[in-house]
Amino acid sequence: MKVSRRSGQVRVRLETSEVELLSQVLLEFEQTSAVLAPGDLVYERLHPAAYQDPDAAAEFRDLTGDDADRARAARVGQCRAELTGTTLRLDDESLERWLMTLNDLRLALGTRLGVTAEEDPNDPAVQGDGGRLLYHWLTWFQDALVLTVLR
Amino acid sequence: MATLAPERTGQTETAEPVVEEDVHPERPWITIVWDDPINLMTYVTHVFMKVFGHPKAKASALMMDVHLRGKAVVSSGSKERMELDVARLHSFGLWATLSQDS
Repeated sequence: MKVSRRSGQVRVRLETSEVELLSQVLLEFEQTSAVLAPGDLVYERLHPAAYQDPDAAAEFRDLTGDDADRARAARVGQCRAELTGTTLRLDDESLERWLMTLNDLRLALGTRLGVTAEEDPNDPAVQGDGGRLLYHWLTWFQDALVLTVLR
Repeated sequence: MATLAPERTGQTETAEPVVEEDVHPERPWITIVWDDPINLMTYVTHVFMKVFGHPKAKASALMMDVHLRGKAVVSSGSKERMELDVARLHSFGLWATLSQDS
């Protein structure tokens, strides 16, 4: 993967295998996030408590949760639709959407994997773990994208 | 454990927010962002720039505050305004809560 920025547009060049992997991860996330229920760790991480008081937090979640889910699903769907080949050309709006979607993927995967601290991607334990390798690849991708707008 | 920290770690010191609101209506509400092991430092800086319109240096300092202290107050104002900030931060995947300033 190669990320570059030229005249206001960010270009991402992916290997064919990376396109396949990313498509699959996006599809999986779209399908699983549609059926997540309160109590599931990933659901809880995607809908953090807004208040320390559980009743107030539940009320806030009732009011905002569905809208948040719809917006998230729309972002994932648009990213999937954009991933039609090995090159992504992103304007400010689509870049923002990809950043948020990659973050959602990392939150979901990282929570499932039990990521509790920054870990070295070169750690042998990570190298032997497909889920962790995917997590670090998504991390690298998101960081590369965000650096194009932070500079 | 870290995944549910905001709602669990603060439990013991939490008073009834509704009561607090009635007793001290003059106290502003605050939005707190909590450190978490998944959100990238660069991404959090970007979100602070985006949501609050901070310049990069200020957003970056705020992010470091969250990272090093475990949490930081990122905005204050009316309860309604803080609920909007929290909802917006949640949409970006940040871990935010609101409470009445003590």
